[in-house]
Amino acid sequence: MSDAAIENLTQALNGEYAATYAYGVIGARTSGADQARARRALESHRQLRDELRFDLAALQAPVLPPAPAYETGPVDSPAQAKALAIQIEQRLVRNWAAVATTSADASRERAIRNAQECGTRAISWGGASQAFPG
Amino acid sequence: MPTRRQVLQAGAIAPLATLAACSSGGDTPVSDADDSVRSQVTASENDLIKRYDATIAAFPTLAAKLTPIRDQHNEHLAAVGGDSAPTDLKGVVIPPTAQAALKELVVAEREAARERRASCVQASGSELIWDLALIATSESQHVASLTDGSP
Repeated sequence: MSDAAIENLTQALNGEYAATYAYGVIGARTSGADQARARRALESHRQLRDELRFDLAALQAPVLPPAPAYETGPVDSPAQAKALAIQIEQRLVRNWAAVATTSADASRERAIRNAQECGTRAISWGGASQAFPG
Repeated sequence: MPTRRQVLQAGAIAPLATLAACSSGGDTPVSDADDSVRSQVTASENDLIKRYDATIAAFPTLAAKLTPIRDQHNEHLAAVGGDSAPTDLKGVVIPPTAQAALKELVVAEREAARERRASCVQASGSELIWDLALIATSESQHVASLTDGSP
């Protein structure tokens, strides 16, 4: 497995750490259906984070721990919380597309599915579709 | 004076800065197989564009919702280097109601997202893999947009 593949998996892990952190903040600033959506998204990103940690460990590559905190910008209102969720998801699409370029077969397919799920979640938060998301 | 090799390397890296981490995917030479992937995607994107054009023509009230999505398919087509097919809307059968027409577009987009994912798995050049992963995602987003959020 190449250094570029490890680099892309590590970047994706970092993105998933940031998403996990951000959804904690988003959950605290939303209520009702949006809070439930944030909780589901948090679960999905935790799972992706764990898969990436597993993949990196399987390659005997370093598995970096999360940072204590991630920069989210001000998140004082539900609207800001939703905007952060959209931004996080669209950005993760690029991380997963990069993983796709350095993986093959079933791993590549999984990376594309993950990109698609993140991209779709951005829409469920009220984001607009993009020709080349991210 | 930089050597020719240094110049070539710098030139090769600059436009792909965002792909820097993906360079190993480029080890595989872009093959004829990628040409066939591109032509499949071209045909499918042209078909989608035609469906959108015909739906917009039949139901002008849907234009505001559908035109941006149709334009994104044009961008997909351009990215894979495809030529637009002459737009002949004759023979495109559009359902009798706007709601049924939208439903057909959802089905077509869902199929496109699945096909693009399969094409991406087949591709060997890293630039094509990158583009198809994003196009597959864009088309999943279209499904979600057309169904108001649910994939």
